[in-house]
Amino acid sequence: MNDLDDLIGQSAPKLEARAKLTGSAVYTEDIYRPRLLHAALLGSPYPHARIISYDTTAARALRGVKAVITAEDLPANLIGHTFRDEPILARGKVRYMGEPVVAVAAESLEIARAAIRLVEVEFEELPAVFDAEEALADGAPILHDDLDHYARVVSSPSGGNMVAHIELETGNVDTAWDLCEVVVEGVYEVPAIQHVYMETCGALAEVDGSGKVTIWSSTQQIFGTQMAVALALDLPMSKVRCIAPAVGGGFGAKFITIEPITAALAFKTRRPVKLILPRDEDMISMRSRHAAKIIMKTGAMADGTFVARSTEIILNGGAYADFSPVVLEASVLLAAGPYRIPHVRNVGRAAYTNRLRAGAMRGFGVMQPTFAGESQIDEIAERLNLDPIELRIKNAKQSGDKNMGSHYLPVCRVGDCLASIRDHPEFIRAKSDHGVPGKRRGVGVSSIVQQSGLFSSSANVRLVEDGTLTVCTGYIDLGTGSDTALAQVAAATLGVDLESINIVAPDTDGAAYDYGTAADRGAHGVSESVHRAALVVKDRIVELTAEMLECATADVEVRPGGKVGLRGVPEVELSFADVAQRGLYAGGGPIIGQHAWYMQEQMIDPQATRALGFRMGGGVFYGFAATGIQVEVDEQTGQVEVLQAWHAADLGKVINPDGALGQLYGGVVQGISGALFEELVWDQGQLVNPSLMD
Amino acid sequence: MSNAELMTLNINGERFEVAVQIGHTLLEILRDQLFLTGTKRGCNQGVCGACTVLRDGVPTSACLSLAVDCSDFQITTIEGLCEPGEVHPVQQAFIDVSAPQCGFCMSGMVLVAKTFLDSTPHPSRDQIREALSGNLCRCTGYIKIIEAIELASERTS
Repeated sequence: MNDLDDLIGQSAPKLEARAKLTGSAVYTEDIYRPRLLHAALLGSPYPHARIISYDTTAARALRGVKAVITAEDLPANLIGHTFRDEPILARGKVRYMGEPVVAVAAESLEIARAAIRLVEVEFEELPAVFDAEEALADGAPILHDDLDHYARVVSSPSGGNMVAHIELETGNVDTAWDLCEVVVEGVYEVPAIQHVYMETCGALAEVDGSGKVTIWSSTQQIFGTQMAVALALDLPMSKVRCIAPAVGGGFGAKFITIEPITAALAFKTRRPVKLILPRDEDMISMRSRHAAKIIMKTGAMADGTFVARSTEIILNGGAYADFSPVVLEASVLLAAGPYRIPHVRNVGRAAYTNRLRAGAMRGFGVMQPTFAGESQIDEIAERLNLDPIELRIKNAKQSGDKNMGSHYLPVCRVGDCLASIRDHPEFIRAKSDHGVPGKRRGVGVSSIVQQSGLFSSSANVRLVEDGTLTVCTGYIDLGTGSDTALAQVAAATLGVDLESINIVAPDTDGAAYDYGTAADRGAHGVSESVHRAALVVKDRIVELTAEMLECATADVEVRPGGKVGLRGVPEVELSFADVAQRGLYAGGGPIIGQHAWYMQEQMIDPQATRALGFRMGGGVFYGFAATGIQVEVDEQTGQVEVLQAWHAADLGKVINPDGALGQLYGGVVQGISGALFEELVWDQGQLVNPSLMD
Repeated sequence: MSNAELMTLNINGERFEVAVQIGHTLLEILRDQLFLTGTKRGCNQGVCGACTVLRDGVPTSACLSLAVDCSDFQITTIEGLCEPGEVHPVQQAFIDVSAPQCGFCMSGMVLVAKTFLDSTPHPSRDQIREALSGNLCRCTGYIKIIEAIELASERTS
C-alpha cells in the first residue's frame, strides 16, 4: 500500500473544530493568571510631533496603578522586520496618530484607562506628510533622521523618506513599444485596508522568579516575537518564552504587535499583565495593507500577443518600515502577472508617511499591481475586439517558462484555470445575461500569480512509549487547518491514524523552529519538514525492529496501524509501542526524527534580468489562479452587487480538500469585500473610521 | 471606582452571585467574573456578533447588555448549549463540514444558527444568509457556515 495516498487528500475534520465550536478553545484574552494586571495605552494625538516632556505623576498616584512607563523607562533599542526603526513606545517623537506613547498597568482595566487620561505629554507639532508621492518629493518633512544608521536586513537603496527602491527589468522595454499595435496607459490607486482579524491584537506576559518572561499572544510568529522582545528589552532570548494559544485570525498583520510593551510592563510590575487592544485602537495602531499608486503601460500586437509592460508602483508604507521593502519586492517581481510578456520593467518605491505602518497582508504586494494589470488587459481586449478570457489564455505563462526572465516555473496551469471558468456552464449562462435597463449585468475575469514558501522551517517528530507520535514545528494554525494537515502528513508517512498524532502547541521553549505563518509556508514547507522528520523516525523504527527480530533491515516492513513485522511472515509482528519501549528502556535510545531546512529562493540571472535592490527571500513555489465574477450594477446609484463568482486555483496535491476549499472561499470573499466595501480613511493623519461600523 | 452591588444572574441553568457595577456589561461579567470565555469580544459595539448570548432564548449582544438589566432573564452562553462533553447537533454539523477557521466567531454563529433553526427548521439559503447578517466572519466567506446550517436542518428532518 502507498501510505501517503491513504490519508493525504482526505478531508479529515479539523483537530480543533470541537474546541472552537464549544467555546472551549483558549485565545489570548481567555487566559487569566493570579494577581493579573490589565494594561492600557496612550496613543499620540498628533501625526508628527516632538515629545517635549511627560508628566505621569497623577497617573502614578491613582489607586490601583502599578506601573506607568514611557520610552524613558526602556532601553533605547529599536525593532523592526526589515529596518530596525521602531521603538516599542514612541521615543523623542511620534510619527503617526495613535502611536503608543505611554503604557499603564493597573489592578483593573477601568483603572488603567483612567490613569491614561491623567497622563500629560507635551508635544511640539511638526509638519506631517501623508501622501507617498509628496513624502518622496524634495522638501518633504523627514520622518526618520537616522534612516542611514538603522540596522537593516534589506539592501535596497533608501534615503530621505524612501524606505526602498527596487527595480527588475527583462528584455528591452524602451524599444518594444514600436512593436505594439495597441498600447494602453493608466494610473491606478488602491486604498489602504485593514486585516480585520476577528480577535484583536493582545498579549499576556508574566515574569518568573528567575527573570524569564513568558508571553502568550495572538501572533503568527512566536520566534520572531521572542527575538523582538529580547531586543527591545535588552534580554538574552533565553529569558523570553513565547506561546501562541488559539489565534483569532491574522491575515499577515500579527507579526510582532504589542508583546514587547506587555513584557516591559510585566518586568516593571513583576506581576502578570494582560493587554488586549480595543477594536478602534487596534485599527489605529497596528497595521494596514499598503495603499498604492500604480502607473502602468502595456502593449500588444494586433493578434493580442503581449509585447511589453512597464510598471511604476509607489507604496505608502506609513510611519515605520515593517515589511514594506519585502512587500515591494513581491510587487516588483509579480507586476507582469501570470503572462508571457517578453519586455517588462517594474520600478517600485515605498515611502515613509505619517500614517499607520503598512505591513504584510494576504496577497502580499501582488493585489495592487494585479488590479492595474488586469484592468489594462481588459482594455487591450476591447481595443482589439478580442475576448478578454481568450486574450489571457493566449498569453498565459506555461510550465517551464520563467518569471521576469529568471525564476523557473516548473508548473504553470493558469491557462487551464482560466479555461475552466470559461467553460463553466453557469459562467457561460452569466456571460449572455446583460440584465435589464437600470440594472445591468456583466461578467469579468482576472488571473493572478503569487509565490509561497520563505525562510526556515523544521520539525521534530518523536515516537512515544505507547507508539503514538509527538510532532513539534512551531508553526501556528491561525484557522487555516495547518495543524490538521501536518497531522495528516505525519500520520500518512508512518501509516498510523490521526488520533495517534499529537501536534504540539507553538511554544519557543518546546517547538522546533519555524519562521511563522505566512506565504502558504505550512502546506509547502513545514509539511516537508514533518514528512522528512517522520521518515527519519520510520527508518529508526526499522533499525530497532531489525535488532529485535534479529533480521536485516531490508526484511522489516512497516505495517498500517503502527505495526512492524518480518516481511512475508504476517504472524511475526511488533507494535510501535514495543519498539519505542525497547529503545527507551533496553537500548537504542529515544526514537526522534528531525528535519530543518531553508526554503531556498531562486536567484536572479543577471544575463536575463536587470535588478536593482532585489533580494526576495522567497519565491520558492509559484502558484496561479483565476477568478470570474458576475455583477449587477445599478445604473442610477452605481451600486455593484456580486451575483456569482467562480474561482480556479492550481493547488497541486491537496492535503485536505475541505480545508483548502475553506481557504479559497474565504480568500475570494475577502477579495470581493476589499474591492468593493473596504477602505481605511484618514483625514490629516487621523483615521476617521476605526470601527467595524464604518 | 464606583461601587459594585451583588446580584444574581441565571446563566446556563445555574444561579450566580456576581458583583456588578452600574456600567458593567454582561460580557464583562461573563468573561472576567465567571470565566465563561466562550463568549468573545470582537468589536465591543454590537456589530460583529462574536459576543452573542441567548437572553430568554433570544440572540443578544452581551457587549451591549448591561449586566444589571439581565437579572430577570435566563442567559444561555455557548458553554450552556448542551451538557459538558457533548455537542449540539448544530455544533456537530459545523464540525462535520469543517466550518471553523480561526473560530473566533463560532460561538455567536452557533447560538444564532440554533435559535434560527428552532424557528425555521427548513430554511432557504437566503433565509440563512439573512439570519447570519449580524455575525461577522473574516475567514470563511460564510459558505461552509451556510452549508453547516443546511446540514443541521437536513439531519433534523
